[in-house]
Amino acid sequence: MSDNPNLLPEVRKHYGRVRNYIDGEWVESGSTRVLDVVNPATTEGIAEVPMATAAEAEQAVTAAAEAYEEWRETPPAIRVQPLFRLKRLFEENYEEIARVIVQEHGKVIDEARGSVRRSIDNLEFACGIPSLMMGETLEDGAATGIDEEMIRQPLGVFAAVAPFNFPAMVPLWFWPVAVACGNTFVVKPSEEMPLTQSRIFELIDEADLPPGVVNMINGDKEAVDALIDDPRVQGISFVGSTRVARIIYERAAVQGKRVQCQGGAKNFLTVMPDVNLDACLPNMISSFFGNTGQRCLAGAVLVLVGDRADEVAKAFVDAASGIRLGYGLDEGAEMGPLAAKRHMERVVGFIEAGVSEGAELILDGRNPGVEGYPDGFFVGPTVFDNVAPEATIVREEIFGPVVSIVRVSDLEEAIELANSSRYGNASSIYTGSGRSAREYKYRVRGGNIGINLGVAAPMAFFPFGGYKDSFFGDLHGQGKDGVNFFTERKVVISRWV
Amino acid sequence: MGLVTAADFPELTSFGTLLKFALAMERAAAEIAKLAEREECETRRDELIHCARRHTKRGGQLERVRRERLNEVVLQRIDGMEAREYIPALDLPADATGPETMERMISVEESAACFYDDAAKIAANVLAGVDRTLRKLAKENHSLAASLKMEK
Repeated sequence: MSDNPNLLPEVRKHYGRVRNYIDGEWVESGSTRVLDVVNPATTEGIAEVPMATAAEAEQAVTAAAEAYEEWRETPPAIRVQPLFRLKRLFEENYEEIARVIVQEHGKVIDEARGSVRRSIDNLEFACGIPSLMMGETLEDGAATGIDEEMIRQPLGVFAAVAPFNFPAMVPLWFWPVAVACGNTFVVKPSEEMPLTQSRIFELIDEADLPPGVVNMINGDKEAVDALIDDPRVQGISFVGSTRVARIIYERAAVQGKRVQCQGGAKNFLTVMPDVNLDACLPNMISSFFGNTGQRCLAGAVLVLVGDRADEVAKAFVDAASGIRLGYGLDEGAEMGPLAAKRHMERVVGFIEAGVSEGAELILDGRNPGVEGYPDGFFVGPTVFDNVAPEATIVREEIFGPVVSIVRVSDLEEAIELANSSRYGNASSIYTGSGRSAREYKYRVRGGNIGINLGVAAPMAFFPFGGYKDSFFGDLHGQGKDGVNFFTERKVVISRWV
Repeated sequence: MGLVTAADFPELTSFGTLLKFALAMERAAAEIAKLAEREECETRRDELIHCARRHTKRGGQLERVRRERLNEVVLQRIDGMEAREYIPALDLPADATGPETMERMISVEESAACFYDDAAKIAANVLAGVDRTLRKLAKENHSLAASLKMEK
């Protein structure tokens, strides 16, 4: 591995025992339940992370609650100053953060860099809170001489429970806007990927946010339940599986809390016969196999419409079979391993289900044998053709580099197929026809639609969320939805007599 | 000098490798031009030192492009570029004469121009916005090469 001139250096070989960040201090957890953090390419242990107890989660909420009153009275223009500083620190440590992501998650370095950029985008958005949080006023709004105004106010303590697939970015969808709005926050990173957030919290510490404004605890269900059930926590943001999203939504909503829970996905990419295949093929490949298929916006089902299906399928498989697997710190690698052994086993299980249900396996990514990383959690690009719409591999979220090709006769059938999914996170159409694109955009029930684009990932200033079982709640993450989620609207009607 | 070799860049198949190669080229170009600071390179020293400054500055510009333009919406495989086609001879001896240094620098500028011309065409499809920067760099390489070639 060291002979590879393209291999970027690891930030550190081992990160030790991961700590919590509570009330502006790094705190050792007293928990006896400890998980190993494993580099999924090399399979080396790179850290240990204790699972916070309910009492430790409560300490984090206490710190946030105690910081709240003073923080909410801090003017918005002052509140965003640490975020400006943090943005600068992110820029200065951009490459290092990206490499930590690769080490613990396995994605390739460009993907990691891209996700750091997305994190910075969200910080930049939050820095605009003095404008974004402004209220509205209408003179004589209630009656002559009686003015009416709407002001936005923070609510208190919020918490976010983050997934494993984007260790840097997802918490930043939430806490910068929340904090800029005057709330305080507790972040719970994925217990499988705690290192990136630990590094980011070192930067948060350096950015000098007042103690308690943003806190981090590392843990699992015990900590999450404690956060949800703490009456001081006003709302929860979650990104993860549909199963857990539903549980968290129900548990928090029944307590009257604000909740935004992003769940799983099964994204259909429809290719029309009029597609410009040369121009669009690399984009399709990137959608299905980018981040090793571990993103909620990844393509999962390739829907081939009409008489060019054979040609498109062949070109797709040819391109997929040329993808170079490797350690993400190798700048020549195009696809990394799955993030953990259990994910690899799950993906392989789905491939076996596809075979047993009779789908035609035309590219098998099992046991790809990656040079230099014989034990890594790799599964190569895998493609099934002629898959029945009701097959498990079309219906269930796999979260890996596995593609199901379904052939349909026309656009109508493609739209029906996409809409028949229980999920509605994203969907794309590749076509040269504006009419087809418009029809798709209009009728497909999904939160994010791509036109000749396979990863329709909303930027920080647009809301990000799905439909159906891909999202539970009302207001999405990011954009003005984020500002609305993290503020309460209050109407004041004034008469001076 | 050995700053850029084909072995370092087996394939230019991604935004990252393309930019990494470009950054390595800029570093190599700056280093060659800096050789003009030696006594052996009295003639046209100022022009070469100007080149060194330009290439150092361009490296910073490319680093900024890498950070600001990389997002998952545009992240996709790049086909049709091989690093070995753009790597000029860089093994200039430490005691190279002024004319030798000048000749090598012209070759570096021409190779870089060719690289940025091709990269800009590819970027126009997959990295809209980055192509403008690459075209600009190519134009400057052409201009520097032409200027260095002129008998003075």
